[in-house]
Amino acid sequence: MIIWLMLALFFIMLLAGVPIYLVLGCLAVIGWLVDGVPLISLAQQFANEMNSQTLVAVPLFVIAATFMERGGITRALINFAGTIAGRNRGGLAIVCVIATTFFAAICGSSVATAMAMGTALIPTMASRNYPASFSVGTVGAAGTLGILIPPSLPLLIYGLIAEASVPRLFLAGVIPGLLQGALFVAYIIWYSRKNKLPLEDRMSFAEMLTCCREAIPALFIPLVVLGGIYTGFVTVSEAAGVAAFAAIIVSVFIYREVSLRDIPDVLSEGIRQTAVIIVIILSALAFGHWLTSAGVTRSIAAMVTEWGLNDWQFLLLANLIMFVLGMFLEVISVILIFVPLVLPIIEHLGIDPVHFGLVVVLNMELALLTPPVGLNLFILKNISGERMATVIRGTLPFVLILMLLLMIVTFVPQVSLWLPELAYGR
Amino acid sequence: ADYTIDVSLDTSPNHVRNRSFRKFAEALNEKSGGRLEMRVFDSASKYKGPMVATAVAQGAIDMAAPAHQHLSKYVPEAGMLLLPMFYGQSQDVIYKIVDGDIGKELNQRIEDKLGVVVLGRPFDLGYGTAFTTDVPIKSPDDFKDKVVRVPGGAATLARYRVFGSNPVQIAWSDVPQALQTDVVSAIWATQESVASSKLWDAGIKYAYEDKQAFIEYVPIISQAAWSRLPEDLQNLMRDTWENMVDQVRTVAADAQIEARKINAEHGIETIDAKPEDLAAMRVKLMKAQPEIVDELDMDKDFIARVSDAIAAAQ
Amino acid sequence: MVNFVSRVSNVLGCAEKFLIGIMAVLAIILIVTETVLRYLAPAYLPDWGAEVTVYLVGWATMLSLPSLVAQDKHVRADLVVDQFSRSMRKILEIVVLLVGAGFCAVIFVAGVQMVQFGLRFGEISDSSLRFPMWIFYLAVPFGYGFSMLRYVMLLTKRLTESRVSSVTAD
Ligand code: NA
Ligand code: NA
Repeated sequence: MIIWLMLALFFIMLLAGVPIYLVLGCLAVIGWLVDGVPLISLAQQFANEMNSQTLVAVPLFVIAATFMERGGITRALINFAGTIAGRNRGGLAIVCVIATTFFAAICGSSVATAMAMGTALIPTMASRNYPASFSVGTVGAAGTLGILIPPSLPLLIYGLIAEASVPRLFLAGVIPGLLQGALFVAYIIWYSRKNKLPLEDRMSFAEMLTCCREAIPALFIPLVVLGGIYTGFVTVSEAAGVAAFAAIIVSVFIYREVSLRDIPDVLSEGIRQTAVIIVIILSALAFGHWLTSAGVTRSIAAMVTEWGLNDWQFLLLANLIMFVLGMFLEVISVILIFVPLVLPIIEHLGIDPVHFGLVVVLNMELALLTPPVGLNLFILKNISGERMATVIRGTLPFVLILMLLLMIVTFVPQVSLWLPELAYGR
Repeated sequence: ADYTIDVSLDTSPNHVRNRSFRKFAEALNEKSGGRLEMRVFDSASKYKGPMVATAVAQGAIDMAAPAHQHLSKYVPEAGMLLLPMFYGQSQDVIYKIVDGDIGKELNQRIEDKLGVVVLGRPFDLGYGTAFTTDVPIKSPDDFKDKVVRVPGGAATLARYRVFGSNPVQIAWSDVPQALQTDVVSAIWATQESVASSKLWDAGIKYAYEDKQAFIEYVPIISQAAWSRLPEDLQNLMRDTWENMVDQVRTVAADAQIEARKINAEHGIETIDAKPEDLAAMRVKLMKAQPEIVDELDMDKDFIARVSDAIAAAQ
Repeated sequence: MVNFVSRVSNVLGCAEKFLIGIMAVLAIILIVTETVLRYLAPAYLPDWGAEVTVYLVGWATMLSLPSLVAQDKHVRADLVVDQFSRSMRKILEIVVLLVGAGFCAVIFVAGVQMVQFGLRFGEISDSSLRFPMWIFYLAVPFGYGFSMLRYVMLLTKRLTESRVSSVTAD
């Protein structure tokens, strides 16, 4: 009963244009009141969630991204990607996917990735007369690579909950990530030919050399950060801090596009951009907390066990549920709500938790792009100033491609498991 | 059911703590004729380990079983099992303390400070174990100059400093990488957590069973939930718990043995420490104890009494 | 009066930005120093580096909340709202401000209770720093409390505006 009322309220508030953090937050407050749990524990939960090493990595990665964008690092990566993309129709969109792939190798958050790439590329694409929906769609969809290509915050959180090996999870994301990039590029080439997008100018060899040379400091950052994580020199939150530090140094002293005086401004801007996401995460976690307490999640698990599904039937169902949850909830809260719920089922069916982790993260990529609550959609809307409908229309083809990829990853476990098993054994 | 008690545990459903609680729930349900239902929430779906004590104190969740050291942020003395005086002590000695007058006094302190009810005697996770990658540890001296991952806590850090090793705090999730890349060459964990995280993949080859510290869980109930129950159900809970603790402790011990076996099957060789080595190291460690007690702001009088009780128990 | 208020909020805005910037810089320096120290001089490595980073970032985040309200930066789904008439949108806007003020008030009050709890029970962090947790907890009522004030300010502004426009319309 109460769950249907909550659902109704959720939609009404959402559609009335109430900010997401307020929608989820109000539902949490109502849930707390209905269950008669003292509200002090709601505030306590906010504080506890903020008191986390994982969450710290988010603003630090975003700060790094802010400097990369302002300091010409993103620009350098984009130019470098240009030398790879060559002279194609829709070249800028291809560049976007390639540069995002590099960017994703330093950035564990999809939102930050979409933000950095979007701010840099959307105005350029607009000036080259790319259809607005196509360019925002490309950036938004490519941005989801941020959580598939390691490092990835959602994979890290999944690893914690599922007690799965994080390095294995990270390695498992590499091939699906590259596959996603390739599928996107293929679609972009097809779309650009069909719609006669402008041809980019051919780069001279000298220009290409300059681009590559200028990209060295920028490429140095992912090298330090990813290298740091893989060699175990740094933890993920430390990697985020080092990335932010390196981004500041490189953009202030090497590319010299940010002055020392601008630093506080850029930093507080980075924090502010993250605060928008953090308040949503806090509210979502609180609401998810109530969902669990109210037994909503528990009854789902009981149902699934009763049906006696086999592994592929279960995976299909899990995908469906995560897709629906992902429409309405923020990524981390979906993982926090859903994964503990199905862990016993996964184990029972003998599904590899690393494989399932990748299935979860691909669903989360979709969640970032599906309305009504899709963080990448919001970010792109903010950056481009386009209407939500335009943004959604633009991401739709990529959503379909992601669904195809999801099916591949779901039903061909080797796509995700081959690399980690090669590296660490079975 | 007329009454429900919600329990929040941060460990997975298969963890010994969760299995124990589920058994407890079944027993309560049966003995109360269905009047009392206990619902167990696994895998921190409600509250994370360090936070759960606060949640019980604030009345946000009915019941939990935090480890002693998670209560020490409110009651410093709750961290006593990590102090040098307990280093290398046998299970018998530890039980005599936590089940005896000292344990009762500690429970009273927890109840007074947090306004919660301690249901009864604590139950076990078990001893922490030291694990290494390439070089086996055969005596406490072998810890010298090793970089060891520890879960944190001033007493634990101090212990490793006395060992002459270099304790670092790394999140559990980062441990596999840290091991594979030789950032740390040793970790302090339990057989069970090493098995469940498959750390043989990350290069763990040896274990050293040196009984550095024994980890126990304290069953606590919020005042609100407790006072809701009629007296007969309160007594039923206390009695059922009391009757189950010893059995649950055996289950925990079996789980560690089972985990040790699984680890052995994956090539991890466990070396048991020699009692005389441990006694010698305890003497060394004891010199550092006053400073730790001071740093942690523990009640010196209480600690002195614990020390006497240990001496009497041996 | 209006001039004074805007000047005060300007000064506050600058102070806030500066404070957030400083905290972020400190957090980054701390985390990098810790990383470097661990390899160069692990003996000097304090056990509270990561912890303090969390406090700094947490406070910086909460400090930036009021400005998000003031600049209308909170994410919302405006898919449907865009289709409504102007007057309907105005009403909805006031509803949003009311909901915002209400929710932030709840978190503010609950947050103050939490700070009191932390003070009363003397909760401290696990590290050797033994940091009094209420100082960190205070960030929550601070951020949401000032957000509430911002919502109330916007609400009074909207309400007086609409009164003025309805007067002129008559
Ligand atoms: Na990434
Ligand atoms: Na979504």
